[in-house]
Amino acid sequence: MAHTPRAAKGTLLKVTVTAVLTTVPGVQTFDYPRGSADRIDVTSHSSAGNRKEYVAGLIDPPSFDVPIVWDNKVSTGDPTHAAIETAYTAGTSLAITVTTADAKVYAVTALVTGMTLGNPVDGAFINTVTFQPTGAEVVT
Amino acid sequence: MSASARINTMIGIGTTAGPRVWSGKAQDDTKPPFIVVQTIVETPTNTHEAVATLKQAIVQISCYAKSFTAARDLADSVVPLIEGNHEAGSIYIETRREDFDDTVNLHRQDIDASVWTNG
Repeated sequence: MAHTPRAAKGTLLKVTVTAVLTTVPGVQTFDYPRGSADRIDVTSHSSAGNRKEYVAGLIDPPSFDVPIVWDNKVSTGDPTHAAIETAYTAGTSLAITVTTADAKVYAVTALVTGMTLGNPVDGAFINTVTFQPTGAEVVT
Repeated sequence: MSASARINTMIGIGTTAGPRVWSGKAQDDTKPPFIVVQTIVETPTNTHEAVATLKQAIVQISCYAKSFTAARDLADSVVPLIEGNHEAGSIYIETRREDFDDTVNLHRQDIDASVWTNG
C-alpha cells in the first residue's frame, strides 16, 4: 500500500452536547497524546545478554491542551463551548472524540481540568482548555 | 465587509466635502488634501474545522497635504473616526509615520491601523 502523507488541517474535536457528538469550532493546533505505559522491571539472574527486561504496565493517558478561538458569550454563543464551560465548572466528564483529517477516530471520556482565557491586545480570545482523559480509549 | 472597506466607510470614502478618500490609489488629478486607504496584509485566525472568518488586517491610511502641519492635522482627524472597540471588530493604531512624497511633491502622514473583522 502506498504511503500517502496528508496535511493535518481538518482534524475535528467533538464533545457531547445533549448526547450528540458535536464539532467544537475554533480549534487551533494541538497535540493529542496517546499516553505512556508504565514499564515493569522483570530482570532476573537468567536475563540474557547483560540487559534488563521489562513488560508493559498500565497506560497513563496524560492531559492535553487545546487552544480554542473562544466564544465568550456563553448564553448566546456556541453550544460546545458552553458544554466545555459547564463540564469545567461542575467537574463532570465529557465524551469526546478526536477525528483526524484522515478519518481516524480516537474516542475517550475526559474531564475538563483547566481553562486559561487569553486576552491579547492584538489578538483574538483564545481559551486554552485542558482535557484529562480517564479510562479506555477506543480507536476506530 | 473587508477591513479597508470598513475604514473607507468610517472616514467617508468619496465625499466631495473635505478631503477625498481613495481606495488603493488616488486619481491622478486629485487636489490635496486627500487620503489613500489600502490593506497591507491580512492574517486569518486559522482553525481546524472551518475556513477562517476572523481576520486581522493592517490597513495603511496615507494622508496627503501641501504642508507638514496640514498632513499631520489630517491624520489626527482620522484617528478618532476609526479607533475603538467596535461591535464589528476592534480597530487600533499600530504605527504612524511622517514622510515627504517626492513623486507627488506632497507631505504625507501614514497611519497603520490594526483592523479586526469577522465574516
